[in-house]
Amino acid sequence: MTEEFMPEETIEKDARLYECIVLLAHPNPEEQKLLKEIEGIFTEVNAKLVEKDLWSRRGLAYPIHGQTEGKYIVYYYEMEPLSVQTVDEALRIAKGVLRHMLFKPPIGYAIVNFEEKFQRWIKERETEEQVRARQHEEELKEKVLQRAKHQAKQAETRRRAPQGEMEEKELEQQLEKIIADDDLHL
Amino acid sequence: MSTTSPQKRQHVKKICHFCKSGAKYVDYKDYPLMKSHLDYFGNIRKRFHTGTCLRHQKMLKTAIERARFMGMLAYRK
Repeated sequence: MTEEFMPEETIEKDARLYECIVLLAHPNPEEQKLLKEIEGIFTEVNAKLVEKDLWSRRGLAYPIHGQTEGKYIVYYYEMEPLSVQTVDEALRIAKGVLRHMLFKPPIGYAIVNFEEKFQRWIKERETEEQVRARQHEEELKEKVLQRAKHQAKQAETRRRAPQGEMEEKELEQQLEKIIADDDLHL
Repeated sequence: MSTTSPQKRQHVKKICHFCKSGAKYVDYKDYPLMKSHLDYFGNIRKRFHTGTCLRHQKMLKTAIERARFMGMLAYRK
């Protein structure tokens, strides 16, 4: 059964959510024009826009077509499965698109704004220098603590030492007294 | 014949991070999450080390592969 003989109602029922991610080169003067072109590809196949997520400039993990920075755009469209291939081919040919991916998310997929999440993570995470500084501070604190403990121990031993000497001296004196006592007959 | 018995290691069962959070799908757009499951060279950490269950490890693998294709993650450092 081809698309031509299908009643319109069944085509509408078949429409389901598709996710499309497009990577564009970042320093692109014709960015707005390119975005319109991409959206035009979807409107041609009567796709219904559900959500659009524009990500900020990001560095690429490896250079793609000589570009080290790019911009991601995530589209969520409701369209028929039959028109997926045409969209995919059109995106592959489109100039200025470094990479693209079109697939169906799992059923019941909740759309999340990952741009906000990513920005929050960048602010919260520690840089390497911060980690080093924190470790250095912790080490210093430990050293100070150990020194303080050592000094406290030494102070205690000093306090005890004179008392012990005094006791010894007293004992010696007492012994001498006992020995010197003439009344005692041992 | 006297043999010294080897020291017994206490086996601690690791808990799957995704199962704990009740994840039904691992998203390739979640960069911080995927980064924690990669090692220094950009390889996926083994289940043996992370304690991830097989179901979620498979999901993670597809997510990382998608992210690699899109240039979010490196194939090799």
